[in-house]
Amino acid sequence: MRFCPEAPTRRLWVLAQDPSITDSRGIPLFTQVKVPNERLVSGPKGARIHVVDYDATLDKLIAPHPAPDVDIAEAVINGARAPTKAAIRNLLGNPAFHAQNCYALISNTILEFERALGRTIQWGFESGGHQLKVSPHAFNDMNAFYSRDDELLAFGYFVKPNSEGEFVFTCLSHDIIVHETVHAVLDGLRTEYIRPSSIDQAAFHEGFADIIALLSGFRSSELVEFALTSGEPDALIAKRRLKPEALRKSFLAGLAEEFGANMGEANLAALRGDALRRSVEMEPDTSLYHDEALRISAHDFGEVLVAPLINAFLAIWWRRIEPLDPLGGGMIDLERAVEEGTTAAQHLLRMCIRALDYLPPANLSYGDFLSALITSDMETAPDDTRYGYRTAIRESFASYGIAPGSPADDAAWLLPQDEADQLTYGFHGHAEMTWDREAVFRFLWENADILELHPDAFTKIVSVRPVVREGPDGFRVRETVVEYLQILHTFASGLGSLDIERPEGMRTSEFIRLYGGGTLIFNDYGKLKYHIATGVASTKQTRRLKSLWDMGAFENETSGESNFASLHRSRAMGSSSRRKREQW
Amino acid sequence: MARRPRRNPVPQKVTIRTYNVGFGDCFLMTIHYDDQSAKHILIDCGSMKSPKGTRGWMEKVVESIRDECGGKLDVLVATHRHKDHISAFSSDSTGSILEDLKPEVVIQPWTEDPDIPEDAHAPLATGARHRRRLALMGQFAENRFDDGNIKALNHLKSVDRATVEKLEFMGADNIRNRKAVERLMRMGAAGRAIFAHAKMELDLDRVLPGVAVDALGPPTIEQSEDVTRMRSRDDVEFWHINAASSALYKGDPVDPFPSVAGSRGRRDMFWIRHRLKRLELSRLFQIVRILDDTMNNTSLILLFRIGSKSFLFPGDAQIENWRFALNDPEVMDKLKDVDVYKVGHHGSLNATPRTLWEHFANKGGKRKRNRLTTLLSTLDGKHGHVERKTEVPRRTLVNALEKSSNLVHTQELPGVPLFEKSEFEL
Repeated sequence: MRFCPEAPTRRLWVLAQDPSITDSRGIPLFTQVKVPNERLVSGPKGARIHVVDYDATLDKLIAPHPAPDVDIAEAVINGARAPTKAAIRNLLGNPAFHAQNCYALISNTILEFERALGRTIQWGFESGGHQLKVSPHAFNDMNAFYSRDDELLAFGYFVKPNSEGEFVFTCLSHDIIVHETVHAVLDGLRTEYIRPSSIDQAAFHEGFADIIALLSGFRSSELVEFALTSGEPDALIAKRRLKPEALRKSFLAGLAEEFGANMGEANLAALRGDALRRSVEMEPDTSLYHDEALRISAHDFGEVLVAPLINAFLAIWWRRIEPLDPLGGGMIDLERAVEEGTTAAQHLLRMCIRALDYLPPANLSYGDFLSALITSDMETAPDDTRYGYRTAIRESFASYGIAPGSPADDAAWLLPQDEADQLTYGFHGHAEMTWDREAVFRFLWENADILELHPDAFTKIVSVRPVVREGPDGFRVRETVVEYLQILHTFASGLGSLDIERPEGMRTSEFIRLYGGGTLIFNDYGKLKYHIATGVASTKQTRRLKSLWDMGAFENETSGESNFASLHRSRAMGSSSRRKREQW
Repeated sequence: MARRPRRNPVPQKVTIRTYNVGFGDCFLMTIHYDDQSAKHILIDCGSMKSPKGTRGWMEKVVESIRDECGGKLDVLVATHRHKDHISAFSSDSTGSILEDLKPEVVIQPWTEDPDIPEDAHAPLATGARHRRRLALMGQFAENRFDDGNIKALNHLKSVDRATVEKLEFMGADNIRNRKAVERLMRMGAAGRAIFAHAKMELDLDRVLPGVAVDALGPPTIEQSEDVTRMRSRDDVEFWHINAASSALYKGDPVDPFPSVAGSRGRRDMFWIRHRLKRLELSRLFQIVRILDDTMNNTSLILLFRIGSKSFLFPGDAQIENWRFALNDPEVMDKLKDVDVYKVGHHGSLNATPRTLWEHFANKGGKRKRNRLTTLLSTLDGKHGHVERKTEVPRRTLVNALEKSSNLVHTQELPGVPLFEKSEFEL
């Protein structure tokens, strides 16, 4: 397909999951994803992404495909003849297709975020650069990661353990590409989330990336049909096979197995959390959220966020299937069943992304995410009676012991009326409040008491972002999302006066920065709708400090900014405050 | 006439020769008895880099050991399999001399026990699994850092030459030392082999009368307090190492696209190419650090209690190995009165736990009676970075050793003697 300036998007072929997921003829499943119909130079290099195929282990740079607008897979998959195994093998062995697979999936993920949020997204790079670099074959390693400092997504490759030299390319895994892209996007949206905090926050990056990767995959009808029918489709499917419990045992479990198959004998967890498998295994249990054994590692605890979301997805899918009239004998049209699944995935995906704007900018907890999900959905889809998305999500989170961050009955954020009535708006007009950081800071200054800002903390406006969101029914919501950050400096000796407990073993002379802040949501008329905050001196800080101390985060000040590269390996070695205290 | 029952000889004096092996460890301890007999214990014999300006140095070291012990060793201790501790057992010239010393007992850590079955499918975090992992680590180091294979790192020198050189040094230390390991096995089989772990009772009374030897480390996987935490980590690390150590990577790493020629690329690719090289260097460094730390933590920690004095030899054990001992009040009680401490891991920042150092009752100023003696065998500029406060030996530790103990520092010895002799009346 050629560049066509009239259309805002075009479609590119990508692998539906990875080369190991094949149809009954042994041909891998491909799917098409939408990407911006942008000007590309060879790389591909577009406005947001620059693919550079450099292998740092081999010191080898592979020249990019000279015609970046050509869909390299189109002729093979959609040619006059059905694709042959040999043609597919050639395609999968062509580094230019690897580059396309990365470019398309990353572009599509960015597009999905921008559509859901109703605005463009920025990267979190210090340089302010606009193009995320992508290296599809960065090095010979069982690893893939995002690095803020290097403005990079790096994908490794390795020889499948105990194989005859068969390579596994992480850049051919839908799951891994989207997961790492989400790290990059989230870092641009919420810079503070990379900073060490409570285990909830550390795990959120992982859990959220897994959720988006999985839901993103479930939008592919090819993949969903494959998983429902084990690669042998029929026109009809038994309705009972679509009940949530049945879906868990067949759909999810089957996919989990297939996802792992690509890795050979190696455990997928070596690359990242094995979210899908754990979502099957982790049966609802209200004690899970408080399970100290899971709270040790960000990867493990991230799964406590993924499991309720994925189970909610299955419940919603079933709610969409349930009212359908069976075509006799409890059977329904397979195509319809698949479509209901992909629609539910698409809707839930957007809900999850939109929720980001309704999260506190620092020290978030899973309960905050639940309230953000509910609130953001209420704004764009006020009527939830048909499929009960919000009810399903609330019930699923509750079944894992996650209580909403908001005390309101419906779990949504709430600005008390008496608080709203006391706010002062006088200094700046509505227009300025949609873009001017100084104007918004003035608003904070004037209303500091009502908004309960800490008077001693350094306060700054991080971002002011006007948004236009469109709900599933075409309903439009215009808002301005403002993030502010508060930083309070203290020595450990001063923690007591803030009602924060000093972690056991921490010296009184330890210098501490406490982070807090809030998200302000203004409506179309410039009035404050929500104030979602975590106080810089709140009691939550006790838990955060303890968690940081246990993780050894006080070993050096910059550990929060370090990239994700070492996450897996540092996890392997462990890092504890005990280690630091024993060193010279 | 009835024969008088034979009295066990009583130790009178201990002599320790701290060999000056550059970056490595080698100690010959002699116990002198009241019946004029003597017993000789060799603790490690290896070097990664001989002292400056020396040639054929390890041959001289080994010949000296042979002469000092009169051609016969009673006990040989190989604390762990790093090259800087066992390299002299590798080459034929030095190894055969050492083998001819025919030690009665060879003590090594449990991780060297050949009778633990190799089984990659065994339950996680079992001893066999750990052993398999150690073997894979050795394979990785051999693939990437054995002579002739290190050319694959040349392209990274433009990023940071000094770090590449340190990486090569550390990588080479972790090569499997197959010849040395096999020789140690043979020597153990010829005498008596002991594969020790923490809290194991070492019955050495016949070989070393009047000497109590406590093994304080390494703990077995089951003994480690982190066992539950280790399970998931263990698996993650295992597969990383497994993937990295495929036999296919021997020599230059394998190219997944051999038919695609490399290109010079455009100028807009150069910045990211440089960044990727940096990441590659730090990636390799991290892996090798894990190998190095893990291997160091297989070190034997032995406490010799002889008469009124006790001598602590912890090899290169780091905090993870030490933790088990430091949490045991009974062990801590014994450690309190240590008279001689072989400084762990050539004076690195995390091999002399502060808890241990603070606990030594015999440290103190120059006038302190029975002042602690510390033995530091090291060579600076080989490990770590001063600016990152990771240099070996760590300056702050050396300062503390100088201030509160009688420090024998191989690098500070006048001239380049073969060894420094320290004597302790019991």
